[in-house]
Amino acid sequence: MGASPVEIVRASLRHYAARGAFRSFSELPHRGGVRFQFVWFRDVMFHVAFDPRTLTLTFVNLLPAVPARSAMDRHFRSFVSSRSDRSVPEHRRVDRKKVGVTIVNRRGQLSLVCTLRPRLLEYGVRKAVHLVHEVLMDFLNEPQYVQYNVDYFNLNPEMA
Amino acid sequence: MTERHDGKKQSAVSRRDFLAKSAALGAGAAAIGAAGAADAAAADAAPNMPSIQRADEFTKSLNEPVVSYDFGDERGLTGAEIFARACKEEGLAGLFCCPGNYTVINAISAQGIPSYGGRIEDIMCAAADGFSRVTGEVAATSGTEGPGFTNMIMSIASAHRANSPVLVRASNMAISNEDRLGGIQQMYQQPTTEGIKKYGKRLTIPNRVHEYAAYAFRQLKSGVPGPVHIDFPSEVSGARFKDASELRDYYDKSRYRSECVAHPAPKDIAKAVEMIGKSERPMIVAGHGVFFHKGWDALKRVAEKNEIAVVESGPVRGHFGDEHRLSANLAADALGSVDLVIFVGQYLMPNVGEYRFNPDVKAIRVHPVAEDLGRNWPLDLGMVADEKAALEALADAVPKRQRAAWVAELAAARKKFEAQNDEYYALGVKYSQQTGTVHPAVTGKLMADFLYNGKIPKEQTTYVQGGWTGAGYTRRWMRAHRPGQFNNAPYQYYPIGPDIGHLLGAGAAMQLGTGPQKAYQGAPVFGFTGDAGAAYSIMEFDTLTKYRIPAIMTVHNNNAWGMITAANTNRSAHMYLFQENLRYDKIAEALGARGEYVTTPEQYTAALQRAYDAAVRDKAATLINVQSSRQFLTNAFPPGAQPRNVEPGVTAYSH
Repeated sequence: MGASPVEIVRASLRHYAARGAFRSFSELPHRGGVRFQFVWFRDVMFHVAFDPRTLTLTFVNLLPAVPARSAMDRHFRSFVSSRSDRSVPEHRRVDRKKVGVTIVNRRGQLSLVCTLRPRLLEYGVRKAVHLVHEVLMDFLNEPQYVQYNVDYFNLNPEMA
Repeated sequence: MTERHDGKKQSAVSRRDFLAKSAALGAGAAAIGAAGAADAAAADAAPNMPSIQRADEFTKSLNEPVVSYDFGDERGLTGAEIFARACKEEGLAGLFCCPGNYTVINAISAQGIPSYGGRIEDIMCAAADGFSRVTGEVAATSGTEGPGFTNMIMSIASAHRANSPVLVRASNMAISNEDRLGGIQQMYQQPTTEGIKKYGKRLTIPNRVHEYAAYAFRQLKSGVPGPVHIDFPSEVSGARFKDASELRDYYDKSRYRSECVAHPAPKDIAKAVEMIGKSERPMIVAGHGVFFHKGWDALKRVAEKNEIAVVESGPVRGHFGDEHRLSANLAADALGSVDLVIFVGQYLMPNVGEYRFNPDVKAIRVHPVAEDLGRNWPLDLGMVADEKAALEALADAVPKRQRAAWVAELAAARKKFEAQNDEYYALGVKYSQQTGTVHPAVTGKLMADFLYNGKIPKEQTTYVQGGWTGAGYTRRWMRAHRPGQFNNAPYQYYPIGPDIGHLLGAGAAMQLGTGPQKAYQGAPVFGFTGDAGAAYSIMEFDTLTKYRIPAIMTVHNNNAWGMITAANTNRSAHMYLFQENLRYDKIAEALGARGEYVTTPEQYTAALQRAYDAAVRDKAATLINVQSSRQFLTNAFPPGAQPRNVEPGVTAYSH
C-alpha cells in the first residue's frame, strides 16, 4: 500500500526542513487534515494547512493586512498568475494543469491555495513552496513594499 | 576653481594616450616629487593670500634615500626597527597612518615601504583596508596609542567583516607607567578589538619582537585573511639588540610560516564532478577568497569548460567580470533557477533565504579551513581547500559540456536587468528635470557611460562604491571587467563615511601599481559617496592632494542622512536633515583639491571630463558635488529609496 496523501505532503515539506530552509517545523491535527508550521523567511512563522479530502494545500494568511481590491491585492494576483506564463522558464513555471492555484482574501488576509493532483502530490507541494519563495524573494522585494516588509516581515528598519 | 559649465568644453587630454604617459610616472610615494600644477593654480586663485602648497620638506622627505636596518654596528637595532625590518622582509605593501607610534612608523617608512600620512586615523585605517581589497596585499595602519587607536575602531571592524589582511599597529605606552596614570592617552588596546580581528597580541617581552612579527604575518598571509592587531609598549619598541642572538626565535620567514595551502581531497573532487554532472543549471559563487588567493584564471577555466555560471560576491569584484557570457552578476532573475550552487571563497556565508537561490538548491562549499563549513547554509558537500587549488582541480576534472539553455537564460536575465536599469534611468531623467537636481539613477548611468562607454579603456578605472541610498542606483550601473577593479566599500559592516579613505587606498594602489593594478598604474580612481559619508572623511582630500593621487569622488548631495525615510514622525525629522545645498566642493578646494558643483546631468558629464583631464594632467583630486534631492527617497518618486536589490550580484552589499 502506498503512502497516504498526508504522508506524502508531510515528507515533501519535511524535505525543506532537512535542507535548512524551514526551521522549527511542527504539525497539528486540523479539521480532518493537518496543519504545519515552521519558521522561514526572516524568521517569520508560516502556517500551511493540508486537507486530504480536497487535496488543498493552503499557505494560510500568507500576506497580512492587504485590503481586498487594493493595489497590493491586485498586484499579488497578477504576480502569482505571471508565474504560469510561458515567458517563465519551464523549470520555474507553475503548470496549472498539474497544480491549481487560487488566492483568497479573507478580511484582508491573503492566503494562497494550491489544489494538488492525486498523482502529482510531490510536484504540487514543491511548486507551492517555490511559488511562495518567489513571492517572498521577488514580489515582496519590489520597492513599494519596503515598509510592508518592516511592518510584517521582520525587515530591520536600519536596513530599509 | 569651482566651475559650473554647460558641458560643451572639449577635453584637453587624449584619454587614449593616458596609460602610455602614466607608465612613465614611476611607482610609489617616493616618486611623487615635483610640485604639480595644482599648487600654482591655488596660488592664482587668491593672489593676496598665502597659497595652499606642499612644504619643501614634504617633497624632500619623499626623495630621501631609504634606510636599511641590519645588525653589525655598535648601535644595534631597536625593537621598532626589528619589527619594521620584518615588515619589509614580508613585503608589507603600504602603511596608512597618522602620527603616533612614532618609532615604528618612522622605521617602516624609512625602509621605503610606501607610507601615507593622513588626517584621521579611522579614515587612514579605511585606506589600508581599501588598498588591501583592490590589491590582495597586506597593508598596515597606525595611530597614537589611545585616541588615535580608538578612532580606528569603525574601520578595523569594517576590515574584519571584509576579511582584509590589515596590520593594525598603535601604541608606545610604557609598561612602567601602567596603573599609575602617568602621562596621557593610556589604555589597553587588545580588549577593544575583541571580536573584530583575526589575531591580536600585546607584546611585553622585548626579545620576542621578531617572534611576534612572525605571528602577525603568519596570520595575515595564511588561510582566511583578516586584520591582525599587534601592540607593544615603549619597553619593546625602544629596546636595543646588538645582534640576532639576543632575539628569541629569530628565523627567516621561510621557516616561521609556510606557503603551503590545502588541496582538495580526490574523493571530494570526484563527488563535486558528479554533482556538477547531474546539474542542469550550476553556478559558482566566487567570493573574495578567489581574488585574495588569485584563483581568477582557474575560475574562468572551470566555468568555460563546463559552462558553469559565475556570480561574484564579497567586498571586491572583477575576478570574473560582468561582461562574460557566463556571468550572472547582472542576471538576478536567473539566480532562482540554479539547481547547484558552489560557494568558493565565500568568507561570510549568508543565511538560507538571504541569497536568491531556491529552497531546493544543492550546495557545495570550498573553504580554506574546515571550521566554517556548514555554517548558516547546509551543505551537500564541504571541501577544505585553497580556492585556487580547488578551482584548478575542478577545471582539470570536469568534462567539457555545453549548456545552451542555461546560457540563454542567463542572457535573458541580464537583458531584463538592463531593461530595468533603463527604466530607472528614464525616470531619473524625468525627476531631474522636474526638480532641477540630479537623480542618482542618472548619476550612475552617466558615470558608467564615462568610464566604460567612452574613450577610457573600460578595464582602466578602479572604482570605489560607497554611499547608501544613492548607491542603490549607482551600484546597478558600475561594472567590473578585471580583478580588483571594484571595491564595494561599505560591504557588510556598512560604515557610513570612510569612502574617501577607501578611495585614497585604491588611489595609492594605482599610484604604486600594486598587484593586479600594475597594468593600470597611475590611472585616476573614481568613487561615489553620499553627503553624510563625505563629512566623515573629506579631510583626506588634503592627503590625496598632498600625495598627488588622481582621485575623483562624486558626492551625492541630497541634504540629509540617507535613512531619513526612518523619520516616521514630523517631530523627529529634524534629526535627519542637514542644511540645504552644502558646498562640499568648496571644502575640497580649501584643502587644495578641485571642486565641482553640478545641478544638471549635462553639468555632471562635463564635470567628469574636467576632473579626469585634471587628474591626468596635474594628478589633481576632484570632489564633484552633485546636488540631488531627498524627495527622491519618497514614494512621490518611485521606486524611491530602494530600487530592487538582489543578492548576490551587482546590487549586493552584504555577504
